[in-house]
Amino acid sequence: MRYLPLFCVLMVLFLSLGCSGHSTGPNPVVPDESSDIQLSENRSGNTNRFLLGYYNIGIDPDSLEAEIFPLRETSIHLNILNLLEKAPCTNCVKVKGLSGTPNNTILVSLEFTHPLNNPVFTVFDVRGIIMTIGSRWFPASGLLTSDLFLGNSELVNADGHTTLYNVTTFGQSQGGFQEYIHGKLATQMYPDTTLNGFMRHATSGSGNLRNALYAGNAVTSEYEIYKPAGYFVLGYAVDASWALPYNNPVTDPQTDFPMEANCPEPWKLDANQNPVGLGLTSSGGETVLTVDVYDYQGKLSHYVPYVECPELWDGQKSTSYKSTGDGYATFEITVSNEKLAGDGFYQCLIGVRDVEDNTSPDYLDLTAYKIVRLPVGFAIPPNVEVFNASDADPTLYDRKVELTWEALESELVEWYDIERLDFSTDSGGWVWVPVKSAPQGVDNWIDPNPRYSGPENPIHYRIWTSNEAGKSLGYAEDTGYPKLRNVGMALWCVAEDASGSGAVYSWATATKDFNDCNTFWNRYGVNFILENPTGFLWVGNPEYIQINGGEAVDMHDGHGKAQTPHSISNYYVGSVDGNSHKAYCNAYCPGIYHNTENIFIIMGKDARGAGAEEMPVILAHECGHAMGHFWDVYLLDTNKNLILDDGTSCQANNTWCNTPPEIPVLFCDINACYAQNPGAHATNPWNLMWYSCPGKAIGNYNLTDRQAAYAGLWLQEFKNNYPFP
Amino acid sequence: MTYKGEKMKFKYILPIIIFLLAITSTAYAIGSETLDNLIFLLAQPEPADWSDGTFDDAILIEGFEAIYEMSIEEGNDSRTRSVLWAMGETGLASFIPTLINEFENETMIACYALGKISVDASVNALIPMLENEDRYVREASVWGLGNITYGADLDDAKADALEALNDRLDLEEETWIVEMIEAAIILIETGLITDSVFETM
Repeated sequence: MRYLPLFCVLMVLFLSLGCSGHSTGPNPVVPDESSDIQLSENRSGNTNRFLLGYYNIGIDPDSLEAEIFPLRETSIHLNILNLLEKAPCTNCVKVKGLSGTPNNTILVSLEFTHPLNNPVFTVFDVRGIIMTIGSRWFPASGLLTSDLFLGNSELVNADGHTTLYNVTTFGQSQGGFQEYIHGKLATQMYPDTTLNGFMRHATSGSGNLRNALYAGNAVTSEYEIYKPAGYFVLGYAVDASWALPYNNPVTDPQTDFPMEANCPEPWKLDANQNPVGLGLTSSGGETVLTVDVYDYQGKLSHYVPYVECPELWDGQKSTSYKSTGDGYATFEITVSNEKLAGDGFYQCLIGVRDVEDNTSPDYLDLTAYKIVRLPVGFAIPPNVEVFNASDADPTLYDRKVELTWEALESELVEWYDIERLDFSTDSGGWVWVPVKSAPQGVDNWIDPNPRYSGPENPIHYRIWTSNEAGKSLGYAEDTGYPKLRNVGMALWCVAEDASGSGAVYSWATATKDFNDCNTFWNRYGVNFILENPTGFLWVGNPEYIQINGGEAVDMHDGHGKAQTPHSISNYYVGSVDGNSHKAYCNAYCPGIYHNTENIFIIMGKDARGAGAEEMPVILAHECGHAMGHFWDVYLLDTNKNLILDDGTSCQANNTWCNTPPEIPVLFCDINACYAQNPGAHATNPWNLMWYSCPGKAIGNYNLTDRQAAYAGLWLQEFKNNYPFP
Repeated sequence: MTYKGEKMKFKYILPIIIFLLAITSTAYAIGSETLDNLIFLLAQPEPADWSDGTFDDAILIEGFEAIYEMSIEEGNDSRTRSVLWAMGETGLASFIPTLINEFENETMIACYALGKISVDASVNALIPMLENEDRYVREASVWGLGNITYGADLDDAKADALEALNDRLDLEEETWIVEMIEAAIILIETGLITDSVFETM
């Protein structure tokens, strides 16, 4: 297939490789992934961005097909070449989905995979930066950006804006690590914008409070790009921040890294406007602009925000400090239409300069930017200020989340528009999906269809206000989750007789298995309830101590299937086919037969292991088969070299749906498919369905976003297969 | 370590290094990385097929024997059992002496493993185990004798196995083992599987 470089995107993955554009130290340090890794921080003073990879993405706008070309011929970027040769990052960026929208935009799902496995290389504030051809000029700031109203392509859902690595920085940084990079496969037309929108890429989970991208993780974000007619060329950079961790080895990236590992400038700016009277009008008018500044290093580490809106007033206007909230400081300014601009929406630039910008080189602008469109002649409603999503509210029925907000008294508010962040199994990325528009006066809504989730993996909601003129400048956001979905589990143990003599397993260890299993699955909204909370149910038949597959079915027919049909039956046996380490789950197809009555798990008495080689994940893994109908990802390692095979059988969307494996038992239903786990032997966290690692705690394992989505879809579609205990 | 005169020495040292490497690669078919890989795979609770051709026989033989010896030395019983089981899964006759040697300790698992290696030495080793006082060992030896594929080159072994199983039929007191013996005899004589115990190999 021929891919034209019609839409060429530069991918510059900056990461933790101990180098700096203006460092006085030696050459960049190549990462050593051995356990006794020697860290080196070759950066000077105030910068912590590092280069890791470099790619071109070619997209055919007619067919919307895309391909990424890892650049190996980066002659002008020596350190990139060095890294590509030494790190397995030739395929770290994937276009997971591409689709058009009725708004003349294209949705591009970009996945960044952290190419290193050692958590010491956890990076923070990872951003994919889009660079385009621009026509919008901010004279006071001296910045050029794109504006779809002026016919430019534009990242319309940008999380924020930055000048980093724009085209004017080309050739300026020492070693080429903090500057624009243009690939050989890109079209000859360079982007010219100096101010560019970006999207964040952070590992999901409420425990990630610092926008971290964990080592080995793959994170997808959805880029909505306005697409002008004809071909266009875009530049693309991936920026990340890092600093030496306090502790090495790193066990918890959230606490083992100093705050300096996050980007120095504010990581997020939120804007709101409260019109004074009619707000901005063609004859003047006023509106109060409020800016919330989120900065990991605190409000004393940046200057007050300024606002530039060249069509409404000249120069930059400084805001005034108003208050401090949780993780942010609020600034405010009352602005007016001084130039008496006519009715319309006008791009305005908010900038917040970090104090470290005083000492950074010219090509490294440590300023956070955000572009907002202020309305003139249109009364845009104010933002919702107070918004709450319920957390496992026990008064709500299964899989419900209640959203409440403080209704605004403004006459400008006609609707409250609620969006939920869902994983799109089509695009492979997280997408804000409109779920409700409530009329003014209403201040609550119960979401009837959220995904299964838990406190460590909550659902993100946000609420806008809107009227005929448009929607509010900003939104309020909160996370919530429904009650855990209870599923019954029965723990059976084989013994010499019905009283439990000669039991093959201890209740204490079985309880550990059960608790570990719940620790994992609670994260994804499933909670197992023991049918026998005080002790084993006995299989009092010595014939089943050493068991084989056929006997296991007989055993289940005579015990769990008959006595505990509403729970998943888990049997502890002495050995399976002579192997006491073996464990497996009997799964069924089609899906209607994969129910608690039929499903059973067999655990050999030594399957969990002990001591340094203990594997607490075993029962949780088997429940991956039982609850999600999951395939074993390790079976994709066909040559058993502990590295996931890629390519041949898994090209389309990186799932197994297109080429079912040889053993079809767990793969009879397309809903059972899920993305490859991109990790290999030492990936951290590990995927539940990948190999089990001796000595690895349960908290290190996870599901991919797609696996979690399909587990939820499976449970939703076959909810009657898992009766409520 | 000093690097003085490094260049000068290198032209003499290089051929020596190459020579030593050649000897080393001849002496050891597998490296520590492969060994670690095998150990990791052995620890997996869900089954791995060791006879699917992924690894060369030489790697399996040398690797498993090395892991076995290490496990014995370290007193790692769990890994010992895993590697014995895996030896059987390979179907390689080279492991028979090791498995027979384990009759002293891991008798049952050795019987299961021998039952997956279809050579007359396995049959000869399994037959005496029919008399073992441990009923689970007796069960494993019946399973092993029934599971072996008796080709033309195993006619004598097949006759011996049938004779031993028939003899044991009269003596065995455990009902379920009696049923297994009957099923094993039918399986050996006719190839028909009459008991689910022989469905999973």
